[in-house]
Amino acid sequence: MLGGYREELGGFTYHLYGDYSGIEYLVLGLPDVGLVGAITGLHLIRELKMKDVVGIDSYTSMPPVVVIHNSEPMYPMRIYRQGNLGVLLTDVPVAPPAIPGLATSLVRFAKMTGVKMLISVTGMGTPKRIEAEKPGMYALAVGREAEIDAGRIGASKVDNGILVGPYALILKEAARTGVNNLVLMVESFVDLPDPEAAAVAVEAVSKITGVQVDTKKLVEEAEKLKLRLKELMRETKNVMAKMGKSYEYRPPLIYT
Amino acid sequence: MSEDVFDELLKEVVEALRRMRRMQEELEYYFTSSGFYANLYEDRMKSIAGEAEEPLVEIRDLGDEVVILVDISGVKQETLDVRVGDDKVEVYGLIDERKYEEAFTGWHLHVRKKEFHGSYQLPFMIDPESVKVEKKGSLLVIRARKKTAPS
Repeated sequence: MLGGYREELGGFTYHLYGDYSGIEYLVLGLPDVGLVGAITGLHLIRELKMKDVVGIDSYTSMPPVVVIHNSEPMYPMRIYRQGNLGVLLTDVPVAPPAIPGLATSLVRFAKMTGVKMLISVTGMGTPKRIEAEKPGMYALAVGREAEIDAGRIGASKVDNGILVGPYALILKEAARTGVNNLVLMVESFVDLPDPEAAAVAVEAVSKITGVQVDTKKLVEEAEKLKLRLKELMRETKNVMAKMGKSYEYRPPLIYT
Repeated sequence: MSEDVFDELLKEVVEALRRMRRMQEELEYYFTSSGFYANLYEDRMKSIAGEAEEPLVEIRDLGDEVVILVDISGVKQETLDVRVGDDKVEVYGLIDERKYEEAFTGWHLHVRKKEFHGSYQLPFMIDPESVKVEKKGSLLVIRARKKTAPS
């Protein structure tokens, strides 16, 4: 859907055309390593039959795009909602110059609308992924509630490392403005879409929010999903290279 | 001229410089993001014009061993052909149209290819006799030991 009340936040326009009030948990499904976040978001939307309530756009920071779904024009980035759960999904990867504006605007949107927690979902490339029956999950939290949930879902703590990309800026903005932010990092392939890793993230989101979501389809329809996401994966690989994603694959300078 | 007037003037100059800096940042921002999308367009056009569907691939250097992961989604598994040279890996296959019809609708169905082909130059030599190929779901896993230089 297009239209709705417009709210300008950090250079991005939020088109508020549906009922966005009452979203307690906002899952951020931005395209990143293994497209884990994007697949998680897509699966939640499809399984829970979520409705889009907010369109996000920028005439200067995003390509001039209208997405067409079931003959209806839509904004390139949208927030879907069902009950207390919201999901952010984008059809175009965020170009590196647009990341700061998007990160600040998302955190401001969360603060403005009373979102209890932002849940950032991403992949964590590991050479052991091919051997893993079930990929491991790590969590990084800012805010008391996010810290409690990180422990509750049994995610390992990230001892050392570097996080690069929109989720890094969202985390810093969340800390600055007092918004809870939980970053879920699931072991995954780097340049291949990884629905099995997304299934782990969906289970975690389910535990945190209390919303039951079946992950069976993610595994059963993995091949179909990978076919559909192939080009987005290529675009995302390009974006990751330009945003310095390679920093994630070296240890930080400080150690004890 | 009093000190207050001088301070006011200084503030105005600083503010003007800030505005100029902001304008410069906005211009840089616009041009860098435009370049980014231009590259994407070129890549996509090359991919559409190609004769065969190019698979997604991930190459992992594990020290003594190299693992090449090839996404074989949408390929007729029985037609897969893997060729390994001293420093090159090639994968061929035929597209399974049924799988594409399940995954896509409309325009996207018309741009698919008949064949599937990926060719990868490795940055080191491998021992072709050590090559092991296995299929894990819609993923082809090719493992090979790196060739050690004769001592």
